[in-house]
Amino acid sequence: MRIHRMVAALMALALVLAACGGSSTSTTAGGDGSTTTAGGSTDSTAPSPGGVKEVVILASGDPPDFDPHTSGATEKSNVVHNVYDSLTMLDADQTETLPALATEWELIDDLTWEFKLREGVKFHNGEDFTAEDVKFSAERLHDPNAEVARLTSSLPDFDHAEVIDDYTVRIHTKSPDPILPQRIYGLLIVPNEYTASISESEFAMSPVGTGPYKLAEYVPGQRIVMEANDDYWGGRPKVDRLVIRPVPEPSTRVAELQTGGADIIQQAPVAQMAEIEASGNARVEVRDGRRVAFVGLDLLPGGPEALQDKRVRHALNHAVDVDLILQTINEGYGTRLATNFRPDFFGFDPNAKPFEHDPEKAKQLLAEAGYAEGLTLSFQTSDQVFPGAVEVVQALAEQLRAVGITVNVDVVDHATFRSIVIAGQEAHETEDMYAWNWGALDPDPDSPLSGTLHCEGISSYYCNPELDALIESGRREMDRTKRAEIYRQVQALLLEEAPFIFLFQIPDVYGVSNRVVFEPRLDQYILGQFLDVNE
Amino acid sequence: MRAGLVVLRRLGETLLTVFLMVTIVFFLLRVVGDPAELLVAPEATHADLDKLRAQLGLDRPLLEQYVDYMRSVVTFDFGRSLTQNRGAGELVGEAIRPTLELTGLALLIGVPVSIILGSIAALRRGGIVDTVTTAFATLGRAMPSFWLGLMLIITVAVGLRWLPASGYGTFQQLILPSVTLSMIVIADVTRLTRSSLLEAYGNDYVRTAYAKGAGPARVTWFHVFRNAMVPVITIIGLRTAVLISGSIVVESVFAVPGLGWLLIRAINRFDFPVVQATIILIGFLVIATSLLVDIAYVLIDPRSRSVRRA
Repeated sequence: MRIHRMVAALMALALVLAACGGSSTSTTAGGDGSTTTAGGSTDSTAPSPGGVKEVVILASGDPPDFDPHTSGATEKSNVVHNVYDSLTMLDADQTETLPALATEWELIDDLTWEFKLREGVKFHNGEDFTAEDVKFSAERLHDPNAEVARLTSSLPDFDHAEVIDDYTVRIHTKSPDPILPQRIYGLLIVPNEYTASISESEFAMSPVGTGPYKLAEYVPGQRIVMEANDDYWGGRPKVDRLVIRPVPEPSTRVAELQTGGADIIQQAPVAQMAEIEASGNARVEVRDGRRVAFVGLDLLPGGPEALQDKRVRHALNHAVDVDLILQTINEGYGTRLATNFRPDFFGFDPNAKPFEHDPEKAKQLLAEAGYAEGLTLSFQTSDQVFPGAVEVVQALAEQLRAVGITVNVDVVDHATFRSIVIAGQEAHETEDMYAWNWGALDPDPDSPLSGTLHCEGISSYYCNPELDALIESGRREMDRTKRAEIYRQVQALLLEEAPFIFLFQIPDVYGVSNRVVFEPRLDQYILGQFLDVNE
Repeated sequence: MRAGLVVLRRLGETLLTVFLMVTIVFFLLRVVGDPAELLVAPEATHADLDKLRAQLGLDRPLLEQYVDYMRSVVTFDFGRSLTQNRGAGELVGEAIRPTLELTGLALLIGVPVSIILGSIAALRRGGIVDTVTTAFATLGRAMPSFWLGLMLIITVAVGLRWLPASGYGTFQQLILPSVTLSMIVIADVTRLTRSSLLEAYGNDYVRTAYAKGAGPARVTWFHVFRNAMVPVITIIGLRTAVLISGSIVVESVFAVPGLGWLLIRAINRFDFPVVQATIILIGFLVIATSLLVDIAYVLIDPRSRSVRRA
C-alpha cells in the first residue's frame, strides 16, 4: 500500500514539473566585470522581438577567454574580430588590403613601415585611439613575460614600434617584411590605459576595443551576446545583436538551422548539405577556405627507403585521382592544387600544372625504381584533420593499391595525431604517409613553406638545403618582381621533388538561414558589420 | 554509536578510493600526451613550444608535479585549466548543476515509468501489455543514446517544432535530453521489476500470507512488492552511476554544459587539471549514490538491519 502511494505521488510530481515550464534559469559568469543583461532565454523561435535585428551563430565550443593577443582558434576569432579592429583589414578573398584604423601606409626603408592613423576614433570605454595604443598593442603581443603565451606569429619579425605623433606610428622589423601591412591585420588594437590598469585575467574576460560590436553578455556554456556599437567609425552595423551559442555536435547544429534556432553554422557536414537545402528556410554557402590539404611523406633519415627515390614520389602523385575525390567525397567542392600554394598567395604560378592522373605512368616509374613487385606503405590520419579526412585517405589508399602499392591505413584520435606530427621529428613516430593541412592566415606562401617544408619547420619531415635557401630569400625580398620569381622557382622545385602528394584547397561549408545576408570570408571570420537580415 | 562508526568507515573508504583514482588518472594522463603541443598555434616554432611547456610547468619532474598537485587539491585548489583561461574548480562547479538537473529529471521520468510498466507486465503476465513492454525495454537496451537523442531532435524539434533542439537554460531545453537519458534507466529497470515481482510471487511467504487470511491486494503490495524492490533499488543505484558518467554523449548531442561535456572536451585537449577535477567530482557523486542506495536498503529491507546487529 505504501509503495503504491509513493509511486502515485512521484507520478503526480512529474506531471506538475512538466506543466510548469518556461522558467529561465540564468547563471552568470564569474563576474569579472563583464556587463550582464538580465538573463534572457535563448528561445528557438526565429523572428526577433520589436524589430531588433539579431543573428545567431553556432560554434563548437566556448573560447578560452576574450584576449585578442592569445590563441583560441576559431571559437575566439568570431568574438575578438567583432569587438576589436586592426590597422588594416583584408577583403573577403584576401586580395586587397583595406584601411581600417590606419588610413595610409608607406615603406620608409627595408626595416620600417609607417602608418598614418584614423582620427577621432574612440574605444568602447571612451578612451581616444592614438599611436600610443598601437605601440602598446604591438609590444603586448611580444611581451616575453606574458602569463599566457601570445600569438607572436601574427607579427613574427617585430622589433619595436615608434610613436611619431598622435596619429603616426612606425613599425620596425628585425628583417625586411614585404607584407607587413597584410600581416598587421592580425594585430588587434587594445586601449593602453584600460589594459594596463587591470590584471591580465580581468582583461581577458572584459574586452574593450574600437570594433563595431561590444561584448554585452557571456554565460559560459550557453551564449555570448554582442551588441552594435552606435559610435563605430565605420558606421553603425545593420545587425543589432550577434549571439554565439556553443553546440558541439554537428548534426545538432544542422537541426538548429532547420528549426530557425540558428542563422549561421560553420563546417556543416557535407553529407547533410542536401538536407539543409531541402529545408526551405536555409541554404548552403561554400567557398574555398584557407586550409590546404596534402599528404606528407616521411622523408627524414630513417624513414622508408622507397620514399627517398624521387621516381616513387612522382609515382604516388600520378597514381592518385584528386579530381575524382573532389567530385565524390566533396560533392564537387574544393579546388585541385598543383602544389601547396593557394591561388590567392603572392607569387602563385598559374602555369605550374598539377600532376596528371596516370596510373600507367605510376606503375612504370615504380618499376624503374625497382618496385615492380610492389611496395608497402603505412598511411595515418585522424578524423579531424580536415572534413572527410578518413574517406579521402581511404580513397587515396585504394587508388595507390591499384598501381601495386599496399597501403595500411591507420586512423587515430586527433590529439594523438597532432602530437605525433607537430614537433615530433625527434621522436620520429610518423607513419610513412600522413594526411595533413596548413591554413595560412596571410595570402602569402611563407607560412606553409616555413612550417611544413623548411628543415626547421614544426611540421616538416623534409629537408632540402636548396629549398631552404629559396624560402629564406623569399621571406626577405622586398622587390615584388624578384620575390615573385623566387616563389615561381619554389613551385617548380616542389613539382620536381614532390615532397608531398599534393591534394586540394579545402572548402568551407556554411549553413545559412535564408533571412540572413552573408558572404563567407577566406579567413573564416564571421564579421557582423558585413551581415544583414531580411525580415 | 555503531552507525557513527559505519559512517566514518565509509568516509575513509571514499577518500581512499578517490585518492587512488586521482593518482592513477594523474600519471596516465601525463604518459598519454602533451597538452602544449595541442595548445600551440601550428605556425609556432619549437622555441615557442618549449616556452609554453615551461610556462605550464609541464617540464618539471613528474613526481614534483604530482606532489604539488596533491598539496593544492587538499586545499580545494584544482589548478588552472590549460585551455580555458579559468580555474579548473570553477569550471567543474559551473558544470555540476546542468548534470544534476539532467540526471534528476531522467530518474524522475525513468523510475516511475519503469516500475509501473514492469509491475503491469508482471501482473498481466503473458498478455499483450507484457509483450509490448518487454519488447520496448529490449529495444531501449539496444538503442545507443546518441542515436536516440538525434532521432528525438529530428522528430520532435525539427519535425514537430514542439521543443527546442538543443541548449540549456530553460525547462523545455531539459526535456528531450532527460527523456533520452531516462532510457538508460527504463531499459533495465522495467525488465528487472517484472522478473523480480514474478520471482517474489513464487516464494513461501506468499502462501503463508494467504493462509493467514490476507487478500490479494495486501499480498501484492505489502509483501511481494517490498521484497521485489530490493534488487530493483540496487539496479537503480547502479544505473544512476551510469547516468552521471553516461551523460557525456547526451550532453554533447543536446549542447548541455554539464560534467560530461566538460570531461570529454578536456580529454580531447589534454586539459589535465580539468580532467582530474571532473573525475574527482564524478567519483564522489558515484560513491554518494551508492551510499544513498545502502541507506534505502536499510529503510526498505528489515533483514539488513538485523544482519548489522549480529
